[in-house]
Amino acid sequence: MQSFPDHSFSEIAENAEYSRKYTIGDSEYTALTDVFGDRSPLHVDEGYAIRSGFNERVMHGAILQGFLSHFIGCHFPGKRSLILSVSVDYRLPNYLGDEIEILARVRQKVETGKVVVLGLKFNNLTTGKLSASGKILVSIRDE
Amino acid sequence: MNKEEALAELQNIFDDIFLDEVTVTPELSANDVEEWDSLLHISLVVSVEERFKIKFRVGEVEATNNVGEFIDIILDRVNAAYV
Repeated sequence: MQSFPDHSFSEIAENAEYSRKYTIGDSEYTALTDVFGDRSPLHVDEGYAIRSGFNERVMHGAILQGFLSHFIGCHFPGKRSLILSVSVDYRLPNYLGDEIEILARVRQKVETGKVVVLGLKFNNLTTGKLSASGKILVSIRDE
Repeated sequence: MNKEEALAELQNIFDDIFLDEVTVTPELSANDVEEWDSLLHISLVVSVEERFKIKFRVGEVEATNNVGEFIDIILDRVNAAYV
Protein backbone atom coordinates (compact mmCIF):
# COMPACT_ATOMS: atom_id res chain seq x y z
CA MET A 1 0.00 0.00 0.00
CA GLN A 2 1.28 3.48 -0.86
CA SER A 3 2.33 5.53 2.13
CA PHE A 4 1.26 9.15 2.30
CA PRO A 5 2.74 12.12 4.11
CA ASP A 6 0.77 12.69 7.27
CA HIS A 7 1.04 16.14 8.83
CA SER A 8 -1.21 16.80 11.80
CA PHE A 9 -2.50 20.32 12.42
CA SER A 10 -0.24 20.78 15.45
CA GLU A 11 2.85 19.75 13.50
CA ILE A 12 2.37 22.36 10.82
CA ALA A 13 4.27 25.60 11.42
CA GLU A 14 3.37 29.02 10.09
CA ASN A 15 5.76 30.24 7.40
CA ALA A 16 6.99 26.72 6.68
CA GLU A 17 7.51 26.09 2.97
CA TYR A 18 7.03 22.96 0.94
CA SER A 19 7.66 22.42 -2.75
CA ARG A 20 7.43 19.77 -5.42
CA LYS A 21 8.17 19.66 -9.13
CA TYR A 22 5.82 18.46 -11.86
CA THR A 23 6.10 18.21 -15.63
CA ILE A 24 3.26 18.99 -18.01
CA GLY A 25 3.63 15.81 -20.02
CA ASP A 26 1.67 14.47 -22.92
CA SER A 27 -0.22 12.14 -20.59
CA GLU A 28 -1.52 15.00 -18.41
CA TYR A 29 -2.45 17.08 -21.45
CA THR A 30 -4.13 14.22 -23.31
CA ALA A 31 -5.97 12.88 -20.27
CA LEU A 32 -7.42 16.25 -19.34
CA THR A 33 -8.42 17.00 -22.92
CA ASP A 34 -10.05 13.60 -23.37
CA VAL A 35 -11.78 13.37 -20.02
CA PHE A 36 -13.24 16.87 -19.94
CA GLY A 37 -13.43 17.50 -23.65
CA ASP A 38 -12.03 21.01 -23.61
CA ARG A 39 -10.77 21.10 -27.17
CA SER A 40 -10.83 24.85 -27.49
CA PRO A 41 -8.52 25.69 -30.41
CA LEU A 42 -6.19 27.56 -28.11
CA HIS A 43 -5.45 24.19 -26.46
CA VAL A 44 -5.39 21.86 -29.48
CA ASP A 45 -4.69 23.89 -32.64
CA GLU A 46 -1.08 25.01 -32.77
CA GLY A 47 -1.63 27.30 -35.76
CA TYR A 48 -4.53 29.02 -34.05
CA ALA A 49 -2.54 29.42 -30.83
CA ILE A 50 0.41 30.97 -32.69
CA ARG A 51 -1.85 33.31 -34.66
CA SER A 52 -3.33 34.33 -31.30
CA GLY A 53 0.07 35.41 -30.05
CA PHE A 54 1.23 32.34 -28.14
CA ASN A 55 4.34 30.22 -28.78
CA GLU A 56 2.38 26.99 -29.24
CA ARG A 57 -0.69 25.25 -27.85
CA VAL A 58 -1.58 26.70 -24.45
CA MET A 59 -1.90 24.08 -21.73
CA HIS A 60 -5.16 24.04 -19.80
CA GLY A 61 -4.99 25.95 -16.54
CA ALA A 62 -6.76 23.03 -14.93
CA ILE A 63 -3.57 20.99 -15.30
CA LEU A 64 -2.05 23.17 -12.60
CA GLN A 65 -5.12 22.49 -10.47
CA GLY A 66 -4.54 18.78 -11.02
CA PHE A 67 -0.96 19.09 -9.85
CA LEU A 68 -2.19 21.09 -6.88
CA SER A 69 -4.65 18.36 -5.96
CA HIS A 70 -1.81 15.84 -5.95
CA PHE A 71 0.43 18.21 -4.00
CA ILE A 72 -2.12 18.73 -1.23
CA GLY A 73 -3.29 15.14 -0.88
CA CYS A 74 -0.07 13.28 -1.52
CA HIS A 75 2.74 15.66 -0.54
CA PHE A 76 1.77 18.45 1.85
CA PRO A 77 -0.20 18.44 4.11
CA GLY A 78 -0.95 14.88 2.97
CA LYS A 79 -3.66 12.38 3.63
CA ARG A 80 -5.51 14.32 6.34
CA SER A 81 -6.18 17.19 3.93
CA LEU A 82 -9.62 18.29 2.94
CA ILE A 83 -9.58 21.20 0.49
CA LEU A 84 -12.14 23.88 1.38
CA SER A 85 -11.40 26.50 -1.24
CA VAL A 86 -8.90 27.32 -3.95
CA SER A 87 -8.15 30.51 -5.83
CA VAL A 88 -5.58 30.66 -8.59
CA ASP A 89 -4.54 33.63 -10.71
CA TYR A 90 -3.06 32.55 -14.02
CA ARG A 91 -0.31 34.96 -15.00
CA LEU A 92 1.52 33.41 -17.93
CA PRO A 93 0.75 30.50 -20.25
CA ASN A 94 2.37 27.11 -19.92
CA TYR A 95 3.32 24.85 -22.78
CA LEU A 96 3.70 21.12 -23.25
CA GLY A 97 6.83 19.82 -21.54
CA ASP A 98 7.17 22.73 -19.13
CA GLU A 99 8.40 21.91 -15.65
CA ILE A 100 6.32 23.46 -12.87
CA GLU A 101 7.34 23.87 -9.27
CA ILE A 102 4.56 24.28 -6.73
CA LEU A 103 5.81 26.27 -3.76
CA ALA A 104 3.45 26.47 -0.79
CA ARG A 105 3.98 28.63 2.28
CA VAL A 106 1.87 28.27 5.40
CA ARG A 107 0.46 31.78 5.70
CA GLN A 108 -2.00 31.15 8.47
CA LYS A 109 -3.18 28.49 10.90
CA VAL A 110 -6.74 28.83 12.15
CA GLU A 111 -7.98 26.76 15.08
CA THR A 112 -11.59 26.97 13.89
CA GLY A 113 -11.94 23.93 11.68
CA LYS A 114 -8.19 23.26 12.02
CA VAL A 115 -7.57 25.08 8.79
CA VAL A 116 -4.29 26.05 7.21
CA VAL A 117 -4.08 28.78 4.60
CA LEU A 118 -1.34 28.19 2.07
CA GLY A 119 0.01 30.82 -0.28
CA LEU A 120 0.85 29.24 -3.60
CA LYS A 121 3.34 29.93 -6.35
CA PHE A 122 3.46 27.95 -9.56
CA ASN A 123 6.96 28.61 -10.84
CA ASN A 124 7.57 27.62 -14.42
CA LEU A 125 11.11 26.30 -14.18
CA THR A 126 11.39 26.01 -17.97
CA THR A 127 10.83 29.73 -18.53
CA GLY A 128 12.07 30.89 -15.14
CA LYS A 129 8.89 32.89 -14.63
CA LEU A 130 5.97 32.84 -12.25
CA SER A 131 3.18 31.07 -14.07
CA ALA A 132 0.42 31.39 -11.49
CA SER A 133 -0.18 32.27 -7.88
CA GLY A 134 -2.96 31.59 -5.46
CA LYS A 135 -4.30 30.62 -2.11
CA ILE A 136 -5.82 27.46 -0.75
CA LEU A 137 -7.69 26.67 2.47
CA VAL A 138 -7.17 23.16 3.72
CA SER A 139 -8.82 21.56 6.71
CA ILE A 140 -6.54 19.08 8.52
CA ARG A 141 -8.67 16.21 9.71
CA ASP A 142 -8.01 14.40 13.01
CA GLU A 143 -7.24 10.72 12.80
CA MET B 1 -10.27 50.42 17.58
CA ASN B 2 -13.88 50.79 18.67
CA LYS B 3 -17.06 48.82 17.93
CA GLU B 4 -18.11 51.01 15.01
CA GLU B 5 -14.74 50.61 13.33
CA ALA B 6 -14.76 46.87 13.89
CA LEU B 7 -18.30 46.64 12.50
CA ALA B 8 -17.29 48.58 9.38
CA GLU B 9 -14.32 46.30 8.79
CA LEU B 10 -16.52 43.25 9.33
CA GLN B 11 -18.93 44.61 6.72
CA ASN B 12 -16.05 44.74 4.22
CA ILE B 13 -15.17 41.13 5.02
CA PHE B 14 -18.79 40.00 4.66
CA ASP B 15 -18.98 41.81 1.32
CA ASP B 16 -15.96 39.85 0.13
CA ILE B 17 -17.15 36.46 1.33
CA PHE B 18 -20.91 36.33 0.90
CA LEU B 19 -22.50 36.27 -2.54
CA ASP B 20 -25.67 37.91 -1.30
CA GLU B 21 -25.64 41.32 0.31
CA VAL B 22 -25.61 41.07 4.09
CA THR B 23 -25.96 44.11 6.34
CA VAL B 24 -23.80 43.48 9.37
CA THR B 25 -25.31 44.52 12.70
CA PRO B 26 -24.45 43.49 16.26
CA GLU B 27 -27.68 41.44 16.39
CA LEU B 28 -26.94 39.47 13.22
CA SER B 29 -26.35 35.74 13.63
CA ALA B 30 -25.74 32.79 11.35
CA ASN B 31 -29.40 31.86 11.64
CA ASP B 32 -30.33 35.08 9.86
CA VAL B 33 -28.28 34.35 6.73
CA GLU B 34 -29.08 31.28 4.67
CA GLU B 35 -25.67 31.32 3.02
CA TRP B 36 -23.83 31.33 6.37
CA ASP B 37 -22.95 27.64 6.64
CA SER B 38 -20.02 25.92 8.30
CA LEU B 39 -17.72 26.42 5.32
CA LEU B 40 -18.43 30.13 5.02
CA HIS B 41 -18.03 30.39 8.78
CA ILE B 42 -14.48 29.07 8.43
CA SER B 43 -13.78 31.51 5.59
CA LEU B 44 -15.10 34.28 7.79
CA VAL B 45 -12.86 33.36 10.70
CA VAL B 46 -9.84 33.03 8.38
CA SER B 47 -10.47 36.49 6.95
CA VAL B 48 -11.08 38.10 10.34
CA GLU B 49 -7.87 36.68 11.76
CA GLU B 50 -5.98 37.87 8.71
CA ARG B 51 -7.45 41.39 8.53
CA PHE B 52 -7.38 42.12 12.27
CA LYS B 53 -4.08 40.26 12.76
CA ILE B 54 -5.42 38.28 15.70
CA LYS B 55 -5.84 34.64 16.72
CA PHE B 56 -8.96 33.09 18.17
CA ARG B 57 -8.76 30.33 20.74
CA VAL B 58 -10.34 26.95 20.17
CA GLY B 59 -14.11 27.13 20.47
CA GLU B 60 -14.47 30.79 21.43
CA VAL B 61 -15.91 31.92 18.11
CA GLU B 62 -18.38 29.05 18.13
CA ALA B 63 -19.51 30.11 21.61
CA THR B 64 -20.72 33.49 20.39
CA ASN B 65 -24.41 34.05 19.64
CA ASN B 66 -24.22 37.00 17.28
CA VAL B 67 -21.92 39.48 15.56
CA GLY B 68 -21.91 41.75 18.61
CA GLU B 69 -20.36 39.05 20.79
CA PHE B 70 -17.97 38.23 17.96
CA ILE B 71 -16.87 41.86 17.87
CA ASP B 72 -16.31 41.83 21.63
CA ILE B 73 -13.75 39.06 21.19
CA ILE B 74 -12.15 40.83 18.22
CA LEU B 75 -11.79 44.07 20.17
CA ASP B 76 -10.49 42.23 23.22
CA ARG B 77 -7.79 40.63 21.08
CA VAL B 78 -6.98 43.70 18.97
CA ASN B 79 -6.74 46.09 21.89
CA ALA B 80 -4.72 43.61 23.96
CA ALA B 81 -2.14 43.70 21.20
CA TYR B 82 -1.60 47.41 21.81
CA VAL B 83 -1.35 47.27 25.61
